[in-house]
Amino acid sequence: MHRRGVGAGAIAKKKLAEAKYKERGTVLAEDQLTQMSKQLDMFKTNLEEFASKHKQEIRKNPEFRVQFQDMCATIGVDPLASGKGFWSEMLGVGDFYYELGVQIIEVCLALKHRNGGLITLEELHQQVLKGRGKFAQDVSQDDLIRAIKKLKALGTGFGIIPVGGTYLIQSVPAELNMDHTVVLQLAEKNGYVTVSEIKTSLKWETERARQVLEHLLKEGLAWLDLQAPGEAHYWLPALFTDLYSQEITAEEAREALP
Amino acid sequence: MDRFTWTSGLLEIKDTLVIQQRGIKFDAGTLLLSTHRLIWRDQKNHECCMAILLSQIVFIEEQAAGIGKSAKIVVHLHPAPPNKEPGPFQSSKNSYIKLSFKEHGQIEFYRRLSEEMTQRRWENMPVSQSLQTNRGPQPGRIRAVGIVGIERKLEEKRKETDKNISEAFEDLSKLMIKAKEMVELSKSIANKIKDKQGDITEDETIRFKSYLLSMGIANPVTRETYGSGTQYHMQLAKQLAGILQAPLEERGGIMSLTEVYCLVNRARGMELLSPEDLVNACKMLEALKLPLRLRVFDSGVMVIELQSHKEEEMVASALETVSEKGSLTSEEFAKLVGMSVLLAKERLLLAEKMGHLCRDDSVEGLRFYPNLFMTQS
Repeated sequence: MHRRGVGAGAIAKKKLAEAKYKERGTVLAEDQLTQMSKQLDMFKTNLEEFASKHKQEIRKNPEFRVQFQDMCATIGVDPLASGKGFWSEMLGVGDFYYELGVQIIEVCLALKHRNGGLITLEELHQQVLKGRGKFAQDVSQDDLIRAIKKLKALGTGFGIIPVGGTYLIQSVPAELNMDHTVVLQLAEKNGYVTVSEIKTSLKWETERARQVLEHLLKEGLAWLDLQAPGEAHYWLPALFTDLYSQEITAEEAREALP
Repeated sequence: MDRFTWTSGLLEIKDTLVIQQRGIKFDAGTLLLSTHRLIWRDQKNHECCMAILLSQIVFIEEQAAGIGKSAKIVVHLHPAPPNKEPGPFQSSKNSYIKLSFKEHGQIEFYRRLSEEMTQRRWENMPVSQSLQTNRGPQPGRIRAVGIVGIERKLEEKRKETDKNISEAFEDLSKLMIKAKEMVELSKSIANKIKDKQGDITEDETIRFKSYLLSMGIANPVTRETYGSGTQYHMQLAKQLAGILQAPLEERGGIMSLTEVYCLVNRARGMELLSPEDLVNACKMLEALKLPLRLRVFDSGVMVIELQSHKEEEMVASALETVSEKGSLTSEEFAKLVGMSVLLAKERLLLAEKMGHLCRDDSVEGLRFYPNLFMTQS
């Protein structure tokens, strides 16, 4: 009987077969890449067409932007990942959000000495709109949130903290854990919080409440008011929206950046 | 020609623009054909716009061009209906018009017009703004000026916007389906690459990454958003090295990434960088042997420094400054030295890490003292 698979000849044959498979494998990947390249070109054309018809819509209509972003997220595409991406180049979404990022940074920097780097989304929104001027196009709070999410990549501690029905935006790398966040949320009602309030609402012990408040003081996020009736009040300037909405000008915001 | 009526020039809902041709004579304008009407708009004065219902057309014929004459289409019309809305002429003895095509396009236009005449689509799709048609007793609306006219304009605009938006959403959905196909394809390629570790060339990897970059798809293999290593980021890194040299020197050799982001994007004005673009480019600085580098502090703060900048040496001078003043907070130090509070803090923290400074952490803030435990024991 003919014995298979032994001897030098068989080994050589096997090597040849393996090499052929390898080659084939590389060819397969190459094929798929070529296919992807072709599809990419087609997609680019489709996107161009879409842009020529609806680019204005994206620019002018915040609800449409939300829809657009959500759809992208659903299929696993990030239109804001790179300024070099198709979405950014053709729809102009990139420039819109990246510029907004710059404006957000400037506003936060300008107000940091007052609120310690914590600001409500509303106030941020107001200040950004002011800085943009009358003729710039409208931005929504959703737009701000998306821009901030992208800014996180820069490593400087941008955070979004849900409080009440809205959000606090953190722009300095202060350590804020769950306890701090919860107290911030409690303070949202009146703009300040007291130890007793924390104890009653959150059922904490005095020491735990004190520690959290001290930390907020240290980070410059809270101010201590020893002259308040009853016990000490811990105020959060970040929540003083009415007081600050008139004060800062666009120049101030820009100058604040070193 | 009394069959024309003045119109706002908007296409009605369910009107579809079939073809458009410029250079029609009645003092140079644009002729638009829709499923319901023939519209003429003055090229110079866009407000001047008139239309004729296709249902008014009996018959059309071509007139070939001759020497000194441009090609024409002659449009024969029904008599004008009694309560037709106002137009350029109140009465006319002719029952036809001639469309003169100065910039060609007559053949195509004739073909389309004939098509529309045959299909008579306007009969299937009743138009919202009711102009007199030859069927049934539809009351023609008297066009009023003043508030009613304005309201009507707004209504038309609103409808147009709604139409635009729903059209936009439709187109968007179609586009997303195609985008999803791209995502699937990239996943399948990524799987192939994973299986054949080493069999895919570097070239192909680079190609693949750049495709992912264009689409905004996260790299399925490494999970980084398309990661560093694309050509684009390499070029960007080189550009940055050029742009940032001078600003860095002005600022003592070090800048936070946030500052860089603002500086670079403000300078660009358009085609801005995304935060991720910046980070990925900076990650490549050292590998490309450029005179800057990215540095990440323990706190997570990211900075760009000149290669020549030695933060550790700066710490020595920081120690001197603090010793002179007895103690300093980050804010005080920042003010003295002229740097941002963020970077001042990092420097003091580094000094502390190296054992030169001690901290005093209280509700009054974080204050640094020279580490006497080290020097005096």
